[in-house]
Amino acid sequence: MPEKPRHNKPDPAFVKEKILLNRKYFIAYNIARLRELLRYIPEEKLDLFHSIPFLLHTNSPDLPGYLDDPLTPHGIYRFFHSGFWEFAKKRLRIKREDVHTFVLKRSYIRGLYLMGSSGTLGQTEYSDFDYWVVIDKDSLSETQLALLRQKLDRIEDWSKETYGHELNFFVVDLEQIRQNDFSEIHEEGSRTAQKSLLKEEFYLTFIMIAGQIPFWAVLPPGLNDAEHRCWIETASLLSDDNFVCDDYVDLGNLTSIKREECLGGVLWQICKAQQDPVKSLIKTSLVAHHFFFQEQEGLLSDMMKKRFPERRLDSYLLDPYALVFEKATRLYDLMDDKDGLDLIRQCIYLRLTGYPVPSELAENSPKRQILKRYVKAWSWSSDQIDRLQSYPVWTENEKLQFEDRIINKISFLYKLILRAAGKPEPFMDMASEDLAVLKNRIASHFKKKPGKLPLCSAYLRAKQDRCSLSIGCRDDSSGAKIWAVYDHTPSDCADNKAALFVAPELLRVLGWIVLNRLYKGDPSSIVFQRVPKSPISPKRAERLLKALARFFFSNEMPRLNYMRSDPPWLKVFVSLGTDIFAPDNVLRSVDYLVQNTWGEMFFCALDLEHIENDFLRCYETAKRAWHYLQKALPGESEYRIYDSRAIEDTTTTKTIEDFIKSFRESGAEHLKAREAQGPEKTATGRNGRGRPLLDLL
Amino acid sequence: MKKMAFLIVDDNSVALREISDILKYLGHKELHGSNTASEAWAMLRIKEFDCVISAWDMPEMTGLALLKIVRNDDRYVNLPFYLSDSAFTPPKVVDAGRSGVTGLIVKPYDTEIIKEKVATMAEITGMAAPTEAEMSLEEGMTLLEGQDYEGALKVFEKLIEEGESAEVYYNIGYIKTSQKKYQEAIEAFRKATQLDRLFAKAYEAMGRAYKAVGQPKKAEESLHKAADIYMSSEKDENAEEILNEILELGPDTVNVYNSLGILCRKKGDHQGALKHYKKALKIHPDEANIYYNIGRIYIDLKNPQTAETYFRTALRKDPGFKEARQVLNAIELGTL
Repeated sequence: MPEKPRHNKPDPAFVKEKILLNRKYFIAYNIARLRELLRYIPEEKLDLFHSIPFLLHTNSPDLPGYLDDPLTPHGIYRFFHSGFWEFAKKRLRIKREDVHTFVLKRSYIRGLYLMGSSGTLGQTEYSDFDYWVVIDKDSLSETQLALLRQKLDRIEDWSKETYGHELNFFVVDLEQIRQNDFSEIHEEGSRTAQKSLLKEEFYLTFIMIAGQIPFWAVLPPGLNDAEHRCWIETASLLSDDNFVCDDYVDLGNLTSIKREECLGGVLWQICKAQQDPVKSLIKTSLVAHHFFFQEQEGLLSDMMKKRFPERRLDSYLLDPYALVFEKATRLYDLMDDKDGLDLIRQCIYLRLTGYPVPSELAENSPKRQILKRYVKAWSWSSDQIDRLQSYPVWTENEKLQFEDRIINKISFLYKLILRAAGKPEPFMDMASEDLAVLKNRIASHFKKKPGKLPLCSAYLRAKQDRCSLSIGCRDDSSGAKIWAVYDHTPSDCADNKAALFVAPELLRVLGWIVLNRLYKGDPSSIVFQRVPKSPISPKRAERLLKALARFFFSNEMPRLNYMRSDPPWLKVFVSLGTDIFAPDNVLRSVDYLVQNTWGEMFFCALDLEHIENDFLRCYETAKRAWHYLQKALPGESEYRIYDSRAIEDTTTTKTIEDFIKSFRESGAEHLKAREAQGPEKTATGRNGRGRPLLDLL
Repeated sequence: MKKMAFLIVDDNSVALREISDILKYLGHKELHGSNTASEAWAMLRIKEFDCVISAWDMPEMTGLALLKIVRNDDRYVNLPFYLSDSAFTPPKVVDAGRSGVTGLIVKPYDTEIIKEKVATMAEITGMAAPTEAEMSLEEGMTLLEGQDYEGALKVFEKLIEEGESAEVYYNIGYIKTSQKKYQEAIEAFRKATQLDRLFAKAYEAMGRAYKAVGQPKKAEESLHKAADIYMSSEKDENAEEILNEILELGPDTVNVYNSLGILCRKKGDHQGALKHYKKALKIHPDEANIYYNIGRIYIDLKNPQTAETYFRTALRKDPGFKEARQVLNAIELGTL
């Protein structure tokens, strides 16, 4: 039932006056946000930022993002009113007489907005640009929608290749935004996890780039839905030289965040915590604040809008993230959770200094000003500050422990909300498949299983492109050989504590590097220490690493799928004789690295010492590989046999492959036989095979 | 560090003196004794204490009962409360724990144990016993307040021999200023600022000492440093007072008008800020920073068009002015 208006329609003259005044405030606010955004963009990426709106407005073979199809939707509403057009005109030296060639009969993009950390205290030089491309879906065919997506993908790729900068375009339909339906724009699992939460984030953080101004930004704060509609209806009847209703677009109102949404929101943050735990704790704390204290304290977006007139240039006051930090901290104050308060303060400090890769803050920058204020208000000692300042030199273990502490706190908040939300349907607002995906994603990140390779810290992951590692082998306290990965300098090898990761097997260590994407194929980024009496030379170890990286990440991203709670195996890497001296070249051990559809990677080793002949050793090796492959999705799994021994022996590899082939064929025959027999009816029927498995033992 | 106030409750006056002596030995001076729990409860309500040490067994009301009453009052939920006894039995320990005791102290009192307990508590509550140096400083300050300058000077000079301190140098400077020995005062203030580069009061006092010996340039320099420190630590009122003092010294000081403009802007007094900035421009028409600051005011006044002209001028005056270029760019891009 639509709400009834609380009062009569507002006077049109009053509406016009109010909107024009609020527009003035909003533009000044928007300028202040853009100024902050420009502060943190490195000079070499400025061109990229300036050119994006123009690339969406045009579809020219001379420009990135071009699609050779006349149906390709492009064009931004009111683009000629935006500063970005003026910039493009100057940069491309567009003559006055040529301007008409950029005038389009129809513009498909109603608005282009940046949302998230851009232009806030949360922005760093590495922050992605997340654009919302607002369209009216009814005006585009399915083909055109696909073409638009393709065009945007091309611009994203061009940005990555040319500037090394991550751009994300989220195409959002007008009507869907109004209904808080973001099912088409988000990552796997978050489809229905965030509705009004995402709208709140959008209204709190968006920067207007080009197109129509959201009505929300120019309407008075605190309107209920009926009043919101009423104002827009009145505004739509107005039209004169000063006021053009078509300058604005209705993206819907926001009065509250549904409590049922908060649990999904927190689950989503647990998923995201693997990438950036600090950011996730801040966001989770905000969601928890919404859940418990929204009624008393209201929405942040509304609070921000009320204060648009106060926004100043070069000031941390009224930064969207400053409000988020305030609410996140307040949560722990209100709950009287001392540990939480300490942790959230540390997270805010780190976030402001650029976590996960903190850097020196510019003198007098708003970030520095606000940090100074926080440190004073929190009565922090210089020891506490020094400790956080030295985050980059914490050992990997210390960083992981800190991340664990954060994850525990997020889990605590999750449980708290779950308990308070009550049963039986705490997730009533979320699609069941999304819930399953989120749960599986969380399990993939945090569940410990035998042989599972751990993920590295967010710091290392963020530094992966600039990461320089060295790998060495040393004796541990019991005299056993142990492989270790160190950050950058070989001298670190002397200090056991400085190792990023250690394991008795080389393949496990290399698997850890590949899993965490710390090697991208550049041989200069990894130094293999020459190890006396090692069975494997630096050159061979490097070759093995290359083979692993190619095998696991040849298609850039593995085909991850979190739908099933028992993830099938996707890839099996079999390494023959990696760690053992074998002067006679006999195969004595085999190491396996296997990856499932959740992206988890496992290591296991097979000892073949007790097996009497080569043929049987090959059989055992193949049998273990088949153990994984048979549980893979049909046609999707792949394996690779890699001979690490001093003298490569193609016969061994061939024999193992033949065994796997025969297992596969017998498995296939079995399937055919089953199909011929019709559906299975009894338990015994499941054991029937078209052809018996080769069993030599 | 804050001084700690102890309330010691024991019907046994020997034990009461014993614990008082130990605490005194540990450097604590504010000790209040009571022979009964009811009197202690009355004292608690009229005076603020940082810690209570009460004997368990007392006639009329036991220490445990006092603890329960104390914990029942919201104001004293976190007040450190120790119970002392010569023989703690397991039921006593459980009772005390349930009632919210901070710790138990076994009689006879042991100095080391008391020291340890008090230190732990001080660490948690952020209080500690004053050190010898702190006590001397306090003594010096008392003499200073009583205008016994020579006596105070002796104490401070002795303290300096034991270790340099910005605060002590400042006090010496203060005494020398009172004695009109300005050069010596300047020297002492200089040492204070060398030890603590952000010691605004020392810069301020040094500026005034320079003023007294007729060195206005140096006075202005020191006062300006003090004003800058006050501004960066958001003590705007102190900064404003000093800036006005500098203006009395020399009205042609461009930075003073600029700083006063910044202070006005922070207070939201845009017109006042514009007035100061424009005065600064008259003295120094080529200063790009002032144009930038005026531009900021116009943005605050929601007038980006006028702001743009000032940022453009700032950039013309200083083509390498990165901030001006960024703001100008933001205005251009933000035009809707």
